[in-house]
Amino acid sequence: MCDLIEPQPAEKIGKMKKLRRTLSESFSRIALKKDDTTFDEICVTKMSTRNCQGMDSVIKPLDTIPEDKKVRVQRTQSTFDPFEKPANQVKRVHSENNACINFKTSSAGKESPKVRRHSSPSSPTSPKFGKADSYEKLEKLGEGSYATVYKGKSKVNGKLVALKVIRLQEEEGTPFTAIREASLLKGLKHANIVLLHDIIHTKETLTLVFEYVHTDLCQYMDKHPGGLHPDNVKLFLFQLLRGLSYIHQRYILHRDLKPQNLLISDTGELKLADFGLARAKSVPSHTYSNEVVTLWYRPPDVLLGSTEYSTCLDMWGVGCIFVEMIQGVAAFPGMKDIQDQLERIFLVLGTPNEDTWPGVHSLPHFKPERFTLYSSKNLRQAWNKLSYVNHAEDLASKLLQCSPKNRLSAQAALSHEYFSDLPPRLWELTDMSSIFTVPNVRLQPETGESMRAFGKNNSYGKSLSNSKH
Amino acid sequence: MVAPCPTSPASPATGVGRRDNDQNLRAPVKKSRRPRLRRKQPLQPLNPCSLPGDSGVCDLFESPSSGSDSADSPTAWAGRRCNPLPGPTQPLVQLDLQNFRDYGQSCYAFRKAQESHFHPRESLARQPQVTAESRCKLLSWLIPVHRQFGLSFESLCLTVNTLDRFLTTTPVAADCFQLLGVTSLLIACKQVEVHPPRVKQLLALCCGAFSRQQLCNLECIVLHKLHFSLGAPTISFFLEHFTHARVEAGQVEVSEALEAQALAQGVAELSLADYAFTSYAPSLLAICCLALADRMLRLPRAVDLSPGEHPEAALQDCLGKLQLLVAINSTSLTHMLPLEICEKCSLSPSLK
Repeated sequence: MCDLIEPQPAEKIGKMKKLRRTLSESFSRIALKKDDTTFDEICVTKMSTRNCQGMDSVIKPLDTIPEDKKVRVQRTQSTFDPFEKPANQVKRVHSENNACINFKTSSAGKESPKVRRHSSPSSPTSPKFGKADSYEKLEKLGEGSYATVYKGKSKVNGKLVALKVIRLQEEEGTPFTAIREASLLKGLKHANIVLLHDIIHTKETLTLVFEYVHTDLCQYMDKHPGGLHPDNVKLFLFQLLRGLSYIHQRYILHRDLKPQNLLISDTGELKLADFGLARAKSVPSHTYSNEVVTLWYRPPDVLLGSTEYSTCLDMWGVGCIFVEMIQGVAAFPGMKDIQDQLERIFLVLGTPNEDTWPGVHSLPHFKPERFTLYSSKNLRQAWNKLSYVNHAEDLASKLLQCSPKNRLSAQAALSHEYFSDLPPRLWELTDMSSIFTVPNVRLQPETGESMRAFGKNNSYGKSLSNSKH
Repeated sequence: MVAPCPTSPASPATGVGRRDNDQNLRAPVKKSRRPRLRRKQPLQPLNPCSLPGDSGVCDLFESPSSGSDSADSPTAWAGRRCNPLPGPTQPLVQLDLQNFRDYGQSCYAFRKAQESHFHPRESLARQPQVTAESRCKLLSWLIPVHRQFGLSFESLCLTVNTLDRFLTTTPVAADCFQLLGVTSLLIACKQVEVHPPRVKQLLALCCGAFSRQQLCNLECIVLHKLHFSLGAPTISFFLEHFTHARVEAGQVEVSEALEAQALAQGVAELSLADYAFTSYAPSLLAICCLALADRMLRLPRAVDLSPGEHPEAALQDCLGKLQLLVAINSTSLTHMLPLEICEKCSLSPSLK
């Protein structure tokens, strides 16, 4: 009926619009917006069922695509394809098995409220996990831009979990943050990365079920102001670098490092959380949105408008967090805007120029006249407590490099002398082993306080058992 | 990815970039009915006033993927086609060799090990309606669509992987196949694009044949069936890896490596549309596409086929099929590639 083999002028294709209904029942359909002002709809369908080699797959012109960008691919071996089926013999698949049939009814807005579940095979879950009612929702722990986090309790084994309930917006389907977080975390199994137990998919919400870790570094530092115990800083930093090294080896950037996203268990285990902004970094030339990292932990290259960042993006944040743990105050607590944030950085590290940072002048927001000229200082002048610990200042200065290329990588930082007094076995651990499985590695009580004040809820320790196999 | 261009990431202030995007989004539409011209001059941004909505495409972009990043927008795509490849004097903005030195090999080993887990096998074997031919047709449509949106090759690869893996799990009716195509595209873009296409834009591309509810439902079904395991290793990743590796090893000039990568990507795009190539692992396809590209560009020192660690027979088999694919699709290929590369390469490479 409409065996369009040759590319047709757009006017002629316009006449095909009435065929859309009929075509929709046939073989396959490529529907296109017609290029005229009335926005009539047309569909162009390839109807050929001939099987001559190389000739059976002429692709219809696509009006939405300019002529010189059209692609027609001919398959190499169409005649020999065992799965080729003549279109006219195809019957509709019966509804139970057909992924699409239920859309006809669902478009009325009554799609199945049935619960979908995804248990990761390696998670320690029984078959009962995954149902929305397998977890008892307890108090709210926090609210983010796209999700609310609740404390929860498994009805199956009584273990505590964190339930990240994501609202499914109507407009754009499942939020990209949820897709990224779920798909990335499914592939990440490491003692220093929060463990995703389960995914519960219902009509209105998507719930990610995480292991419960009872505090985060931000709360921990609030509780112990004035800087943390130097030994604890070392253990936290080591774990942070261990987790980052693991994800960076997979070309995954966290992109949103800040104390709030570093969970701390009562035994002192640190776990990277909140991968909503992370993404698999598999296209090195890809540019990322520069509206990513919380301003205080945002590296100067990103602040200056660079979108060419890679794993060194996260390493700046590590430096900031390191200083904050030691000193007890945020390294660069900008109060106003990007300009203010940059001024604070340059005040300590010196205003960059082409000598100290080749290429800085070509960054979009770098205007030399806008910045006061500061000379670089020793970090201990800005943060005196760095000088109390051997090699701490050197490590901090290698992380807090304005030029991204000069920043130490997570892997290299793990071999820094600062860590040289830790037991060598820490470098031989398997991914899922906690550093606290090594003898004599344990969290010290923070000054003036006992661990009891910090970790009252000892029962939560069970949630960590997964990391100790 | 193909080649740097003035409009690409490093330079433009974001505010300005956005205006340019709006203009350039329309630029391709203007010539949609013209035969392809071989341009010597870079494409100039067209005045939007001269384009009184003569195409449905404008409507599609009425909320242009709010692109502040020019590399993600069609601007960059237009630029890539028309701007010359970097000469040796230009800084190496496309290759991040430092990151490659730090993590390249471990990431490669990790991705390589994941390959078989994510590799869809005989995705059409149990499909009663979807055929290799309809798959080819759908992808021949999706390839220009992804270009029109200015999406990365990585997104396209992930789209195809999502599509094929879903097909192994669920029979799909012929009249829903296009919906599955755009749904897979949406899921892929949500993972790696800064500005994924809007649902509305995708629905408009399908001429309103499907509703928003249908697309969102299918998205849930796909996510469910694939258990949210979406981050497959892609040809795109391996092409980047092999390119970095040969530059790092000093085997090839940077500009040559980038040209070969661009050409290999064109060949790889073609292969995505052909069901016959779904039996090959992405790393195998990537190394073979590069090898073929080297021959087509007559590079003095062709890529070393050993890093892919594939048996010789598989390599030769894949290379032979790719060569046939290129031979019967040479016209399409020239339309997909930057002009400079078309002029340099011979489209009928000899294998020996």
